[in-house]
Amino acid sequence: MAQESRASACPTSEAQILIRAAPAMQHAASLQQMEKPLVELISVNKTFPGNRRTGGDYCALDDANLQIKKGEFFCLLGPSGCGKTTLLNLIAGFEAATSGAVLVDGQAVTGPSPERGVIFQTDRALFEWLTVAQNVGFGPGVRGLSDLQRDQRVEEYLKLVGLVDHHSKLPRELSGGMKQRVQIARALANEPEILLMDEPFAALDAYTRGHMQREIVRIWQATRKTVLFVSHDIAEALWLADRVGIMSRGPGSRVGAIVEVPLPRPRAKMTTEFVELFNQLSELVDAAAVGRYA
Amino acid sequence: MNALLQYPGVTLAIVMAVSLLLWTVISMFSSAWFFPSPLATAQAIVKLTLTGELPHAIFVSYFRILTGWLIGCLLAIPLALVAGRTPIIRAFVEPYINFFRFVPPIAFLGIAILWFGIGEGSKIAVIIYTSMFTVFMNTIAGAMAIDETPSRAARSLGASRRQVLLKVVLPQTVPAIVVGVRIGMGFSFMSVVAAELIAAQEGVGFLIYNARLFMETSNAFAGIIALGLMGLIADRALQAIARRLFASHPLPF
Repeated sequence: MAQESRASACPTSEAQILIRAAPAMQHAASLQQMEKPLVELISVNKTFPGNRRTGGDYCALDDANLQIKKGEFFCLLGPSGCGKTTLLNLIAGFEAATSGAVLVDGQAVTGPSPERGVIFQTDRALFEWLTVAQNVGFGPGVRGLSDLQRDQRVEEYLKLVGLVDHHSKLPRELSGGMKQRVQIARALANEPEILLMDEPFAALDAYTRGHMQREIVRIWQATRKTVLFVSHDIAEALWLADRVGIMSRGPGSRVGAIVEVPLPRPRAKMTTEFVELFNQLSELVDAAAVGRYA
Repeated sequence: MNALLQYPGVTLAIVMAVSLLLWTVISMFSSAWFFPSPLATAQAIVKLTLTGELPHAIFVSYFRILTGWLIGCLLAIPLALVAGRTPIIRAFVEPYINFFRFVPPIAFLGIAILWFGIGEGSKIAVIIYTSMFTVFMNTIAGAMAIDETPSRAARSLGASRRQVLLKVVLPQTVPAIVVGVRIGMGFSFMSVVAAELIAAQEGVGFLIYNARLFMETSNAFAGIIALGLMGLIADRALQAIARRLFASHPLPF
């Protein structure tokens, strides 16, 4: 019974998934010879069980495939409710895929890991009872680094995000932009391989957002992390990303077109190339926003 | 009138003056054994203090309340935290809670005397039961209502489940716990007096009950005033300690 309802929620039946998985595997194998992706999603389905109120199961992701290269800034673009956060949560290890494979460095993701730092949209993600320095030192602390090493990391990354002077403040004493800087420093203090950013600047005002966008590119260039940045803002994706993946509207969304952004950095101005890419992305987003089952 | 809000001392003085006046006026229409005046009550307080009866009663009741309340808090907080975060444990604990929450602590006094004796044991047991419930209910509600994002953040920063519980969930639940222990303290006062009224040889509740037996109504009034002040002092002390211990937490007072 559960199987039936799941099948109806996700039109791709399990048999089809198996058939699809085979070429995906071959594709992965051929890629391995060139450049092994750091993050790889193969035929990922994610279905949330329904309850009495919502009725049937909800299929958030249906046959989603994605490859992110080491060191690149990848932006996942799509309308609200298209499953961007679900996809990020799968890579973060907060949730498990219903079927398919989520691989990081060739290993299946089984849960959260300090190798995958997460920056949340909401500033409630900060530990509001700890100072800025204690927030940033949390990761090194729970992982058993010495106090000296921890303090060095705290200083290093507070310096990187420009918050050294605020180390003894509580989060509630900071502005929205500063709180997101603390989140970035806190994730970086673990020196993770990957940064997963879930619309981290969506709640900021336009001026602060622009400033933080330049800051995150600077931090990315300084640390050379692999970044997965989730956004619903086309211009933001173009300012930041090496490649942009466009997600279709849910239910049953997947990563559709992938667009390279060949704009030179720093991307400070609205050049003709920028506007052309913007229009191109707009059309792709509009086409994807219709939804697969509409 | 709203200008008075800026001077809490003034409003308190007005409240006290009006109460004393009303009390005096009412007592003038009654006899001392039926409704003693503020003056008679003050005299009783002085007399009972000088004989040492009142300080001893206060000490005994405070000891019972604080011991029982503290043990109740120490039992309830960890249990409620774990139950609040672990649905399977909650499923097994909740039926007990939902059943016993309707059984008033004083209903257990007879059984407590049978099990723990007529002395301190039975009273403290009743206080433990009283405070445990209040603290447990508040803590579990707090632990269930917290935002999940900080826990997720902690896990992605490398914290184990145990570290998440102690370093994230516990601090997040602090405001709810503080509210719980405050209310628990209030209920502990009620329980101890009830227990002392029924079965005790000392304590403020016993003093009040004994005064009634001998028609020394002013002594009963003295005991009631002592109880009010004891509660007030205990609550203020608790607030001050909580504010000191949890200076960086958003506390509801």
